[in-house]
Amino acid sequence: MTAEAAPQPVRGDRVLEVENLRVSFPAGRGETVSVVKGVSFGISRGEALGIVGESGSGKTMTALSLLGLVPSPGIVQAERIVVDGIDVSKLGRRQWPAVRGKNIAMVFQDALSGLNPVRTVGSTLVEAIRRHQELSAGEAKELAIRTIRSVGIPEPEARFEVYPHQLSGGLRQRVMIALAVVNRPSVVVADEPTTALDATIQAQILELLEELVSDAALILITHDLGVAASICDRVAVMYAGRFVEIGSVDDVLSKPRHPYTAGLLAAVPRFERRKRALVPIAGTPPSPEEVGEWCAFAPRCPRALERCSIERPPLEALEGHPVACWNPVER
Amino acid sequence: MTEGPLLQIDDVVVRFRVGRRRLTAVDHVSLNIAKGERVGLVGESGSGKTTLGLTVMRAHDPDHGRILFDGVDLTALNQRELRPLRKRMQMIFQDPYASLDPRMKVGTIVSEPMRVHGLGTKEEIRERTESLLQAVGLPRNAVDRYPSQFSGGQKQRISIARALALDPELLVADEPVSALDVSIQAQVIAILEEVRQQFGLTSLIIAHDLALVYQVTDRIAVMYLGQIVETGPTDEVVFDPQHPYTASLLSASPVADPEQERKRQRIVLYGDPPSPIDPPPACRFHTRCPIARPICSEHAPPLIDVAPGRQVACHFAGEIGPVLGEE
Repeated sequence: MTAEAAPQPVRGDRVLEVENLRVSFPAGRGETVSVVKGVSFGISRGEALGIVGESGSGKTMTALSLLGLVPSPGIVQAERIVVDGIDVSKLGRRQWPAVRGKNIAMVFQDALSGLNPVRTVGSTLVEAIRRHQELSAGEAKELAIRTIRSVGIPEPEARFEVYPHQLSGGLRQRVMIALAVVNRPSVVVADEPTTALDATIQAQILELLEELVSDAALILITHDLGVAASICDRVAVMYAGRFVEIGSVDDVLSKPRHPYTAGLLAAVPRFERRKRALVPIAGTPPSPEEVGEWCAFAPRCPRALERCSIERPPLEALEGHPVACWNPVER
Repeated sequence: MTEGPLLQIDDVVVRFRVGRRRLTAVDHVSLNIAKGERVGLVGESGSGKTTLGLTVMRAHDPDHGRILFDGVDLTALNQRELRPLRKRMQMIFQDPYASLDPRMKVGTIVSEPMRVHGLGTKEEIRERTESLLQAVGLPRNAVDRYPSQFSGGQKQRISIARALALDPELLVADEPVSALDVSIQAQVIAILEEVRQQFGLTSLIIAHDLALVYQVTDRIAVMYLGQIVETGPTDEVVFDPQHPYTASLLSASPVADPEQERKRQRIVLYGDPPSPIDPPPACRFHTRCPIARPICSEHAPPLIDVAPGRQVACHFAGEIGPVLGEE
């Protein structure tokens, strides 16, 4: 199909390995404040990992750092970020274009700002294809149209010629997805891909992303536990720059052990015959500079012990899945 | 004094001019809300739900139909005659960042309606402002601070306090929590429920989030392209939807419960919602409906009673059946 003899994808092979990722920004007077404070995870082909968090949790910076897209003057540090066997944590700015889009690609929340408004859908796709694959203009166009069709856009030949603003929000998001998968990357990172969309369109896009996963690994960044539950295999809950809990969707969302995860679940409405009152989480998330070497959730936590505001709990699997808590919820 | 419903929306049509064309945002909608009732208006963008809310507040004039508040036809009143009634109905909006003037102190914002309506002395107004802030869970000294000193959730509390200043009977809330973080949403929902009871409010909640509306209402009206396609008691609509659009919305509302996710019927609608400028003929949903048949593109199904308090506009009502896999 493609000119390059790409190795045959193997389901289950590790395509991304992140170790001790930190993202920080200068805060004046030579100081820095970190918004991602040491995050580690891996993901295999065919798997979907949801990273769930509220605004300011660091989930978007985590996503951007995987593609070398953290805005200046942000600083990304990590033991390693290995994508497809390439340690991208060591890549310079000039080396990124060879990897981005080919090995790892991104789907943004707002397709209108993620797509070039003055270029047709087709020319954007063809350019992306020819950046990474040695195809003739004709072959590239053919692949572009095939990809447009594969993401469920009707009349792909006609859509090849249109500009992003001429499409509905749902179709634009499909174009973004087409652009992300056209070079068959091993990892697709989707940052709130459905947040701007209506419910019935969201369902379409989630279904499309789920189909995608069989060929690649998907990292889905979302604030919506329900969205994560609907298509992810595993979910990581992020709070104040760190993962506080990570495990299978069933373990984390049905048997949460971290009080923050449990609190989020108790705070969201769901369809239950016997309605229960929603239980809010008191207070607000801390700003990054307020977070120290203790549990960042302790001030809001109903289960906090004295130890929690003195010493930071490590993310450890005691029994079952990893949780960063000194006093986890009983299973 | 009130015999009938507190709010009666009677065959209301609202049209807008879009270039040379006319867009019918609300198309012959009728909906009654009894005193003390909590009604949810659900729909996607373009459904007309926000326009209907604004029309109730008389921010738009209906092109047809009447809106009766406590038996008085609002559409027949001029601005001056409307004023005493307007006190009795208030609205809060999605974006607390945009709806609070950043240059005004919180106390000024909350007390403004009381000053405009000349209610009480300066001291009385200050006292009431502080107690309103307290009622929404903010410190009394918030009066001397500016909106920028508050988080999104706190800002929404400020708009609730302002909405309560005139002791209204009806509160219209348009997406009151959708701009807020998950952990904050429940705080604001709890405050809304508290003040509703404390002030004896009747409420119309407009939202796209069906799970949220399920949580906080007694009755639901589902809108699609300007029309109500289904109404009924909240529990019945959610657990036994009759209209295929309601069923697909339920299927499409993600819930943070992996088990329910697996059990529920998956209905993924084809295509985009049609433009309200050029809606499909007959049943407006037929272009996306998973069970549409020829009659659906020929005759518009009327909104008819299918059970007490239950109305559906579909030729094949009830055919899809329950969507949520039940325990």
